[in-house]
Amino acid sequence: MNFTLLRILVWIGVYLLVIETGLEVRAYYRGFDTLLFGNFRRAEFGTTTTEKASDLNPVTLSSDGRLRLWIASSSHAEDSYLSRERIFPTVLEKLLRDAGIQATVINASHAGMDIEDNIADLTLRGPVLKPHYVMLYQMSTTIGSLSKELLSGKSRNAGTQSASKRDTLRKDTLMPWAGWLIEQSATYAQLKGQVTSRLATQRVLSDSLGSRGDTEFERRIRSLIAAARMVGSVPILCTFATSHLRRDLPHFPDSVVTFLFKYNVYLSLEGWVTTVEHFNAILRRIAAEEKITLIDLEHEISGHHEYFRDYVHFTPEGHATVARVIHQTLLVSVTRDPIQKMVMQ
Amino acid sequence: MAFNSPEFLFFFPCVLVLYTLVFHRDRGREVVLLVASYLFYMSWNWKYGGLLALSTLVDYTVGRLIASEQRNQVRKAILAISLTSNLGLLAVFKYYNFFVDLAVPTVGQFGWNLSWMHHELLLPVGISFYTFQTMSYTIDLYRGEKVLEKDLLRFAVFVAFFPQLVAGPIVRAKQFLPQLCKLPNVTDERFHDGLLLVFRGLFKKVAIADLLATLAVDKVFSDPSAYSSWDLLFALYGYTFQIYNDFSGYSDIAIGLARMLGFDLPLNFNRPYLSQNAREFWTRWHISLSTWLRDYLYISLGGNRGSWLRVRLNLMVTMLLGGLWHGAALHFIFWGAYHGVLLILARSSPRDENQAPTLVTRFRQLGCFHLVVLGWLLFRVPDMPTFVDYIQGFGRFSAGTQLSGLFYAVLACTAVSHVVPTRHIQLWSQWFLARSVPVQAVFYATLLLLFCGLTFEAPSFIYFQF
Repeated sequence: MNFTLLRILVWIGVYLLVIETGLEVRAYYRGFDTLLFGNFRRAEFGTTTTEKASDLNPVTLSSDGRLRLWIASSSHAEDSYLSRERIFPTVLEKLLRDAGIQATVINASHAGMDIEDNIADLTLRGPVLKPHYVMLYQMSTTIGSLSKELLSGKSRNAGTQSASKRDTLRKDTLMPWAGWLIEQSATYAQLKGQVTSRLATQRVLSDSLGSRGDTEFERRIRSLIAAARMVGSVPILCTFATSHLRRDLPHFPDSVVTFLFKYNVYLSLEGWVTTVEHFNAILRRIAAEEKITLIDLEHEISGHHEYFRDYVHFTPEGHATVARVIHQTLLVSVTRDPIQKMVMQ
Repeated sequence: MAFNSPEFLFFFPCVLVLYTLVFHRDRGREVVLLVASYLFYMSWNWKYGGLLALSTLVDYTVGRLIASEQRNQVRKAILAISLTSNLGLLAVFKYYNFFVDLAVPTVGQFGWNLSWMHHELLLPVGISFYTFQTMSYTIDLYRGEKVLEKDLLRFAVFVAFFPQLVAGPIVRAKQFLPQLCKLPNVTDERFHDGLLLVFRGLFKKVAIADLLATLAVDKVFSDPSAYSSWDLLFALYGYTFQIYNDFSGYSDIAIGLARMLGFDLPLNFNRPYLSQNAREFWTRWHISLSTWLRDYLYISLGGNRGSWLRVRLNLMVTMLLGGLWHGAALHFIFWGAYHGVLLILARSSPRDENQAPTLVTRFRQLGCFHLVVLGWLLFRVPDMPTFVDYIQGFGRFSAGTQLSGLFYAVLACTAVSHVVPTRHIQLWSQWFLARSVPVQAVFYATLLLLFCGLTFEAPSFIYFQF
């Protein structure tokens, strides 16, 4: 046996590397993080204007006398496709300031975060940044992680986990970097988007997450409320808006269907619609029980296709509308709120 | 770290590089194989490496003692140590909770509560395989076969050899130990043939078995009452080919990896669904287990010697224990009993010495196939109430299907591929292996991408649980 025998493995590696490099170049210039080229320079490309929680200076922030609004979301509030001025946290901050409220929006959102990630982030950074309000706008990522947990019979996998959780889970494996490396590759992302998502439509899919899904979602929402109160903030909940509703079910466009199955291979379209309806009902009930301000984005913008570029992410018009709806509700809430009076003094 | 995991994609090339470096040094080769095997095994749970080492040490010591002892009674007593330790491991990790579960309701009638006796130990991966492998070594020595291995390192490699450690084929000492004693037979042809076999196995696992499972089988078996009789039938066919492709795929990968390293492992599957009766089925399905059960259990019980009733009893006991080997659950025992009955019936029917007409052969194959399919229902259901649900579902005679066209297409393709004559596959392999290395590599790279796209999540091999 000699090393010339292994040349076939080298050839396989070379082919895969060539494909990966090509796809990474393409991905990089479309604004995505890549393995070979590192993080895309989002500041130049333009994402949210409001700093991420990690970028803020806690000393100046907590003593500048402004109203601090913490937005706990995921990719909905951190959009790589739009310029920084056009996404709703930025627009909201501007609207609040125009209305005479000196506000700083802390955009504690990142693609892939689910409610548990939001809670972990709030628990970690909240005591330092001291937000007055914590607003949750989040559902589809959580539906993804719950689907994996409840419908596959397995625990949450890397695809729906934050980096920290992935690292924790993979400490036990022999080569923890191997799975991570593959999952971070542009080739993997392409295959998941182009092949797996299409195959998913051929599966026998579930039409709901069942009562366990409802129970688990409620538990997470209540945990977030508790976490917000622990750091001295007022929690605000939002219902979740989607581009299509039950009435559209037979006619969901292919782009929306492909998008849904790219991220979730367990729930049917019916399952998505049903779960969003159930979870929004849970949000309304919890808000009423806990006497929490509820921003009903589902009522305001769901079903307006022009506000969405896929099932859950907003177009510039969508972002503007979301900001406007949140602003209107906040104005009413804030002007009645002793916190605001304190801030304005 | 399953063969279809990302870790293995990096692990095996690393092992190959190290193995090539030390290939001409006997000790170096054995050390690399042993370390790689233990790393592979402990990647599931490092604690269970100790069990593997314990089993190795006990059987190594027992083997040496048996070989040095002439007195039959003492040899028998020494053998008992090996059997007790190996079967003890199985009893504790695999069967203990099952028997406690059986005992709890019975003794509960007398007012005793034994539920505290449950343990929470996880079943070590592949324990049924390596314990059977080491037991065969000590039994062979006891029977006087010249298989003694005095070198502990070499014996440890025999027990832990990673390609077949967790799901077989179960290798006999006389098949494998002689290969360790000489320079492994690695040639360009055998290396590439092994690689092709690895990819064939991965294809069976990822593109057929897992796809059948995720497209329909898992869903239908999780709630049979929600599906029509038609869907239940085809999901059962789906499982029939899923388990074949899953397990024979694993065996292909194991045989292929071993061949790349220069070793030969025995054939484990030989197109079992073309069998004409249950007896033939068990010479084609999981061959290494069925021959193990024949050589070490059936023959030990008396085999074909004895009265008409005794031979049938031997068959039934062997198959019942074969069923129990697959798992500690009643449905596995029933599955074993079912195959015991089929074997007894096959044994009772007269042997057809002459070549039967093609039509008769096809009819027998079809009949045997459906008997085996029915057996897989017992094997797959999580419990007996689900089995009853499933049978009741058949009784509804309802049509209509929720299963996708892709599921039926995959099922049809795998069924057709099962009947393709072996010589056609060999011809295709020869044609492919005659292509240049860069051309072969394109094919393999494409397959890797396909596997990645086809994987919804990474289900482990079915036989890992046994």
